[in-house]
Amino acid sequence: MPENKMSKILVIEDEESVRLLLRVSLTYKGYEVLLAEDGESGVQTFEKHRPPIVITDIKMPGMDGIEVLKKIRAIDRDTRVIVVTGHGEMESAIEALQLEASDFINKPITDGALTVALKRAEEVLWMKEKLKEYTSNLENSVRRATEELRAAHDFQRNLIQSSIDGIVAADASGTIVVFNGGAESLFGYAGSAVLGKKKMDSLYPPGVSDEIKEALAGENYGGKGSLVNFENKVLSSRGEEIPVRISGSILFENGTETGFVCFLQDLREIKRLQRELIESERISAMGQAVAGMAHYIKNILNGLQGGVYMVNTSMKKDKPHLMTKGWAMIENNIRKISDLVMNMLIYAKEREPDFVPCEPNKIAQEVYDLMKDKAAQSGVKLVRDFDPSIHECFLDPSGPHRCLLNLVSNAIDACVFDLQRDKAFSVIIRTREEADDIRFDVVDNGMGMTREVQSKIFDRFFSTKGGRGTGLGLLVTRKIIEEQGGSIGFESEPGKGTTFSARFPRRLSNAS
Amino acid sequence: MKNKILIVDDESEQIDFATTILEENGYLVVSALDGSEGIMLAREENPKLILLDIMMPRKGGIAMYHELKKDGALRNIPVVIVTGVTRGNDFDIHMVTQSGDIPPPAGYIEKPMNPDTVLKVVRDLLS
Repeated sequence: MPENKMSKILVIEDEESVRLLLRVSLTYKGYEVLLAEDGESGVQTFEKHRPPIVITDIKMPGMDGIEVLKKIRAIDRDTRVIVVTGHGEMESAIEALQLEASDFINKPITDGALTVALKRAEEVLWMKEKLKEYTSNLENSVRRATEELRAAHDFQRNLIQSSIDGIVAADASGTIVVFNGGAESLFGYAGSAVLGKKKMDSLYPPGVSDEIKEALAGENYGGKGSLVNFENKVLSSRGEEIPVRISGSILFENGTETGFVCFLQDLREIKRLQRELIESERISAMGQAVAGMAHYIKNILNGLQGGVYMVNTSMKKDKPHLMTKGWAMIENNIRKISDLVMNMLIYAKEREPDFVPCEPNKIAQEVYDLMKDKAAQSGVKLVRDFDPSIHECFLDPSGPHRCLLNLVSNAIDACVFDLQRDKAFSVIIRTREEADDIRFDVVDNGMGMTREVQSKIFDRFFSTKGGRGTGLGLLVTRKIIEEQGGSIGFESEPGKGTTFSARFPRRLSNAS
Repeated sequence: MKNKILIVDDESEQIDFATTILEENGYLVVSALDGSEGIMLAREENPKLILLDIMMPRKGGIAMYHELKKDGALRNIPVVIVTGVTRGNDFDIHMVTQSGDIPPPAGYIEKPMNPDTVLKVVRDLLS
């Protein structure tokens, strides 16, 4: 609903009483009222003030209402002209309407008729105003949109041209239609040598074009019709195969395939950096390994030197007890070195397990026999808890054997390093049969591990034993288990102890 | 009278080695397998010198060293640290003397032990 915004209104009326009536009435309604006594002065006033609404009497001496209407229409087509007609002036009224009078009011003028006419005039004016605003907005919008479009187009063209990535597009026939600077430097062709001349397929090594089509048709790389980060190769002008990451999509217009556009990221630099990173990681891991190993080897060397010194002293001074001790030291440290070498080899090399039928309890018994004395020397009781019903299974027995040796040796250390001296330390070797697995547990009641230690035990070369550990034992243990398709887990509580569980799949042969 | 030396090390091999070196060269040796036992023997045996391993289970070498240096009766016994870590490196000194008023050890012996080096360090400190 239009609001009354104090618009101007011109009243052209020769009858003074009507003129005054309209002035009072219109002023009361909030209009600024201009008055004219005849047609000529009315048109003059109109030209001067350009009121949006004019109320004019039709029958006037001199220039009548019809003339006034014509003149106003000639000046401004949008002005609302309301004609006032007297009794018997129907013909004039019709003529006025044909001349696009907005409305007419019969005399005697009633307030109701006046209000309705004004309201209609206001509405039309408001509508026209809105339409004008809308049109001019529309023009602005179109102008703005055009500018934006041009900017976007320039931007895109710049983007395409200056992109480091190669951008190549082909039309429906496969002929290249876009070949940016990035593509020029990637492929080594000038754009002019390619655009409209070469087919997209000629940019790939043999077979790759089909792989791309296959990937486009499939869902694996960003859905049907598009490619996201598809790694493959392109063929340079010199015949070099260049690793690239391709992202692209089929272009459609109104449902018809009109071409294909792709972005090609040169991966040569990335691949080189990756290789360098792997190499530097390998070197730093080697450095770590060497440092840890050197420490451990120093300890072994110390034992060997001690043994040799004692044997020499024994021979020089004829003290046979030193010979026995010294020789045992040499043997012990030779064993340590061979264990270390074995662990290093297992860690460094991929090895295919050699599965044979074997009895898990026998493996556990061997480890028990080997470790019993060492445990006793350390004040730890080694306990067997074997499930006698465990069946023969298909394992590479060297795996569980070495794992159990490592785990039991760790468990004994965990007891030796425990600060609570009044504990009765024990290490249990347990065998169990589960659905598809053989489970070996090694349970100790030693010092246990803090959360921090627990989170690091499988880290390369992490050791809590200083120079007495290499940080290889658990890594090797896990590697062996995983090589046989098994898994290792543990539970530990500081001060209470640790349980390691190694699971090996039974791999029962069909024959058995 | 023979000088008495206390060896504290959790590895019996290391004790045997050091004991052989020292006994064969005219010293009397007592040994302990950890820090607690080491302190006890230091009090009972009144050694002239202590060879102390750093990395030991239960009471370690650093704790025992601090206890020795805080004990009025024991603090003047010279202590030689036996370590697998390179001798006298900053880390080691920091570890041993981390609480300010603790004086640095009288000497370091690096593993693997060279018998001649061990004898020289011991002789120098006991002369």
